[in-house]
Amino acid sequence: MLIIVGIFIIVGILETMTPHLTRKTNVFGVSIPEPYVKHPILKQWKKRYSQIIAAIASLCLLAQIGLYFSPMQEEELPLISFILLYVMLLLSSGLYMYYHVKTKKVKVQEQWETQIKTVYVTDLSVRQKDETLPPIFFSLPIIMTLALIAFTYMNYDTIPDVFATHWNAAGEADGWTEKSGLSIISMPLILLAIQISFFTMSRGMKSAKIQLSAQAKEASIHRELAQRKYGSWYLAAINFSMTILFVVLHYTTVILHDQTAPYFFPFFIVFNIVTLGGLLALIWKLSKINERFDEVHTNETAVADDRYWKWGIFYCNKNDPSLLVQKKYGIGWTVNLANKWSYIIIVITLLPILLVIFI
Amino acid sequence: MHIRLDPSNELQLYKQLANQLIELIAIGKLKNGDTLPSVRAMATDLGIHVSTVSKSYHELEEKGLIELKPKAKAVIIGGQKRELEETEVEKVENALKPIMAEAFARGLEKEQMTSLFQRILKQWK
Repeated sequence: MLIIVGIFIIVGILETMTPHLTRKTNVFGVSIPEPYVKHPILKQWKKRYSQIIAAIASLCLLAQIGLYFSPMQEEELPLISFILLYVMLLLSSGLYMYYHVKTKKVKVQEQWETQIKTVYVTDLSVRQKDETLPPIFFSLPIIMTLALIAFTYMNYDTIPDVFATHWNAAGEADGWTEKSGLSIISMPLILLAIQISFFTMSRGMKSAKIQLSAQAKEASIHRELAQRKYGSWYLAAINFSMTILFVVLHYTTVILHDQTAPYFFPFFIVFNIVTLGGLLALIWKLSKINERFDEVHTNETAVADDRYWKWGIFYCNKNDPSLLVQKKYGIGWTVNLANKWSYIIIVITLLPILLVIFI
Repeated sequence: MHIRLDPSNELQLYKQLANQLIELIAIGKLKNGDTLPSVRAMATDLGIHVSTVSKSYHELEEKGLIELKPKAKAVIIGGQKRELEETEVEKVENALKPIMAEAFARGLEKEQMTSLFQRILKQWK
């Protein structure tokens, strides 16, 4: 219950805060020329969006807490929680699209783009100051998994002929698999696939564009470096806690013969604390370091990339060799759909979900 | 060490980039042995084409200001004090002559030109 309520609170905070965490030059997925970042209408829209989302999120949270006091059947609870969460996300995306279109319109109507001068800017030292975690942090978990696979084969004889591979919400095994050379390492293989996609993402983060602004130079350098640094820390934290979770799951099931529940659940809670708490810490950090445009005194702006974005969500740019770009709306990264590797990442990310559904 | 390229300027982008890098070497912000970002990183961060950055780097290499090696970062080799060869001095003179001639033809006084010259030189110590 605590975890579900925690998810509601954190998703609510994230959705409410998102317009304020994004770069000032991106409002609802639309590039805003730097001389206009302080336009009052943008400020007003962001504020209204946050107010509406905060209200919706609070309502959903109250409904969720109310569920626990209702005489509802316990089996029905997760479904209703899921629907509530889904409604919350659906409403916030709907509201996002509404403001996305509105922002786009005002930009055209007031002819912002005809009154500015676009320049290309960067800083030579910014790449040297970049503190994105080096690849070793992401290759180490992969080595751990390979070791686990080797360890499993070394203990092949002691593994029972049938072992559990599926559990219900109460932690009782309700699905079993026959022992075979492949089935005993299916769990580490899933882990390996996720770790490899994390590794690829970390490389992508490192080579992704460092977008500086033409006017708030120092502030944008500061923001970019912090976002890259803490973003990669968060990715590494998820990677490590997930690795531990999978290792425990695999070890307690296959090697220790179905003693999963007592070991797995504490680690599952730790995993949730790391992912959700880490996200909260990241939001807090990013909200503090967002650049401020104190000194807007020319009509210059850094080059915009709107034409490569669809709805401010999907990025597809053939001229850009990078795999990842920073999201136009919200925190985090998204793939460059013009890069063929992006499809591999998407498939690998969806793999665990597909496996859970079809196995 | 900001780089700012203006697409509305009559100078081509690669030339602007090369000029700004040369100026950074002249001022001493880029020193002998410093490395430049890779062509790809520079192009990504600026938002311009890889070939444009590559062209400027090659120009700097031709001028003997950086050293390009495959699979390695470009290293600055200009900026240090050393004996200039006769041909290099001649090159500078040939490049400078038409600019000065144009200024003179436009009516700039010789004294004005000297003070202009010194003012620019002062920026580079």
